[in-house]
Amino acid sequence: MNDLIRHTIILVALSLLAGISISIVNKQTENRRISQTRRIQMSLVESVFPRLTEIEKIVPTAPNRRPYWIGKKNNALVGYACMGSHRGYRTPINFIVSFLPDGTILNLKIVTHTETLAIGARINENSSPGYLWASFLGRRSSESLWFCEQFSGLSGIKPIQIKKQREWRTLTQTQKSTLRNENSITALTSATISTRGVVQGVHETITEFLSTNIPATNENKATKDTMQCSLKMN
Amino acid sequence: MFFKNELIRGIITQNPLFVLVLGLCPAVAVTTSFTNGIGLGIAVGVVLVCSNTLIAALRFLMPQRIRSICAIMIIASCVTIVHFYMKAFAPGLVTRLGIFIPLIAVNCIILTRSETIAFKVPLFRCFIDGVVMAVGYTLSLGLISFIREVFGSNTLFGHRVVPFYNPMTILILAPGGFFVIALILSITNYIRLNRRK
Repeated sequence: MNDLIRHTIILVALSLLAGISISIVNKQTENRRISQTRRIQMSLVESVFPRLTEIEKIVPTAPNRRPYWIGKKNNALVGYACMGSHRGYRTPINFIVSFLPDGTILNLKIVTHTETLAIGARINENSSPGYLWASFLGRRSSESLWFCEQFSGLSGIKPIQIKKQREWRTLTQTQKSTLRNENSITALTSATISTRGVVQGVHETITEFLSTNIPATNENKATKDTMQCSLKMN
Repeated sequence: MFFKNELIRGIITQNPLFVLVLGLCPAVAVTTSFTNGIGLGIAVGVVLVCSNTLIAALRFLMPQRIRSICAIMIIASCVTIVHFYMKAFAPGLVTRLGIFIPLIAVNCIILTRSETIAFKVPLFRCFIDGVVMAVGYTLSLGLISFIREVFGSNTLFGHRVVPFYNPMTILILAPGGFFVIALILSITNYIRLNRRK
């Protein structure tokens, strides 16, 4: 009996000590963790809008509506951006997409994913990484995420077709513009499920956003005036 | 001389990964890039040093029958604290390592060192053991991830390494992890056996 009480007291004391030290560290790092999350989110949003765009975050008061961002340049609307998610091969692929009120995609960036390395993970492949020796010499390499780039200019409202042919990065400008006219993208070799996940996710996110937040644009009747009205309403 | 011998013990003669063959699961799973490997190695190292030292300091208060529970509690607290700091200072690394940071709490190296060293040897030696084991584990993960990233995807820190090299993609997949570990294990075993002769 004595042992039981002694053991209980020791475990309770140790738990208290652990709890106190964890809560101190939690309090100490809380602000920095929040600011890091905000910084990452903001840099992601900035990356899907053109440079020097003023970005405003909107958090809808209605339940089940996700927050979104409005990009403006000289008080004129540049586009909207919102986060989306769709199931990939096993786990969700999270992305951020910016688009015009008529549903035309401006930019797409993959935020997080756990697709299979070298197969599905190529949704975030940089097709032209710079050489290591060049980076030592201070030369900055350009980032070219070819899979996401092929979504720019496509309509997010209409279904996006997936073509199983040579990958986008190997195509000529003429072939690329033909694909754009057909509202199509090229599938990743041996990663059709990941490709389909991103395509469906982008389509669903944009159609859902436009139907819930800007009903007028869903019927392709949006004018600049109606856009301004809906902005004021939000 | 003492520190030098201890360091050689942690890196070569009792290397946790290639000699004691502990902590293989994260070694296969996260060593697809050099930064991931070194990042996890440092995280495990910090937890190992802190938990080893704390367990050694508090071991006289821990009765034999509940000492494993106490050790797990200390290790889990250290992991949570390290996780908080990593989220605050290296959020990108936390996203990439994912579940393998919380799983440090059940890492074989940490549990083994707490059982075999922290409950038996003096506090200072426990601290030194934690440091040398952490260095050994981090270097091992660094070596595996370097080989896998350079030969498997021809990149390092996100930059291309060699022009016109067609990377062996299998090396960055799970089987490739086993291949690389097996290769290094066989080389280290060959050297050790030759030395004994």
